[in-house]
Amino acid sequence: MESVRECIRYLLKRGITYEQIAQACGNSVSTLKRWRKGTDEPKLREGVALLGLAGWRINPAGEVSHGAAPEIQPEVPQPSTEALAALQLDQDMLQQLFRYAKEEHTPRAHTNPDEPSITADVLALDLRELEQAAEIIQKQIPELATGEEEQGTREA
Amino acid sequence: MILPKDSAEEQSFAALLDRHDFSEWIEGICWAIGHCYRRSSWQGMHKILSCLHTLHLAVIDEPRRSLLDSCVAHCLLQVAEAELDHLSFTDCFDLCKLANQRLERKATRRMQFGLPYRPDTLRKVTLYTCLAKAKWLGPESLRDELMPPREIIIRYYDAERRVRDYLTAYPDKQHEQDTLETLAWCWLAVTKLAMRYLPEQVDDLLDYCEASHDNVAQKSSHPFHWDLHIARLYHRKKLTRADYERASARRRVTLRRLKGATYELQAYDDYAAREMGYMLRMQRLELQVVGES
Repeated sequence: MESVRECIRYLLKRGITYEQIAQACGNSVSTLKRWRKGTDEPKLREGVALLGLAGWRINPAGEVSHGAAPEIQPEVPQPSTEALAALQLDQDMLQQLFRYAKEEHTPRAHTNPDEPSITADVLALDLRELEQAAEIIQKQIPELATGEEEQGTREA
Repeated sequence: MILPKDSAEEQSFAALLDRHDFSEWIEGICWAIGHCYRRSSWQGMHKILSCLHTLHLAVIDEPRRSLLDSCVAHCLLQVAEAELDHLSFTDCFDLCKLANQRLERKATRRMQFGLPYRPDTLRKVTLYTCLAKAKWLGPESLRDELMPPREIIIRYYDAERRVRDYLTAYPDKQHEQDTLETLAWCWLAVTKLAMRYLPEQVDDLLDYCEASHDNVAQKSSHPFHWDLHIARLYHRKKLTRADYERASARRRVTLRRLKGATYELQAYDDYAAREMGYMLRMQRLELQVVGES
């Protein structure tokens, strides 16, 4: 996975140490060194996590762009800062995942009559189940109830 | 800065994206919800459910639908765990029921379509973990909700045997560690459940741990040891704030070593703060009832 090697080099060039990268992405220094040398390959999810951490972005056309050099904090600065940074990382990574899933790799619709497919009533039941789960989650997110999720996140 | 078209990064990234197939995407979503859970991101979990909602309209054919169903069950159980961390026991059980229904419907549909049976053992192990944790700490009225404690323990042993047989037949070094960790968490939850409702089973479970899970219950360098220590004190009604704080600090340090990064512990920290207050309150209430009677 060449991008991950490049990504680690990119971070090191910007004065971020192996220890700081390891702490931020949850892998050991020796693992990062092996990835850097190419003697070992990260799993796909580890690679995507590391690229997201470095502020690299992938657009739906597969183009990679660099953001600003990331700020990797040392050990647990302020709980609130860490929580916000984690949330931001969530948002960025999820956006990447979903944009890719939705625009690039939306699974093909069912076209082959020989393949078994589910019926409309099962589909409705499945969808209702997910809506029920979303309703349960919404109780934990006050911003969603008032439609201010995006604004609230930005302000945070 | 957009990199030039022929840059090494772009070429390798295009190759990376091409390697994605549907099952890898499903794996990515399962990983993403765990990531959001560990960081207590409700917005992230909500977004993932929205994404799954969209995917449902596009994926209606087998065998991909089965993969999606497993993923949905996994995500629902992860949200159930998050609810449990917030001590929302009823919501946790509601989500467990939805996940269980989804797995049952999937099995029925595969049978109707003449597809081979998929036991979904690891998803079920997660379900038992969640149920055991909720029944261990939650109100007694939920004791037999969805499945009684004895059934959970029997099913856990069965699932553990199945998974170990599978790993022996199909060794998979990449996933083996994650799988064994999932089983170990289930063992911990089931042992705590037994402490409350089936104390005669606890010794058997500890022996089983010694034989199958590297005897982590006895190792003070492992978080399970401290978790069980807290559970024991709680069930003997001898838990004090100082005891909890001391054991919880050791549990956190050992968990930090296990997980490798501090930021992975946010959900744990949130939970520990609530757990202490809840346990001390419940213990006080129970002691009051005993004193009055």
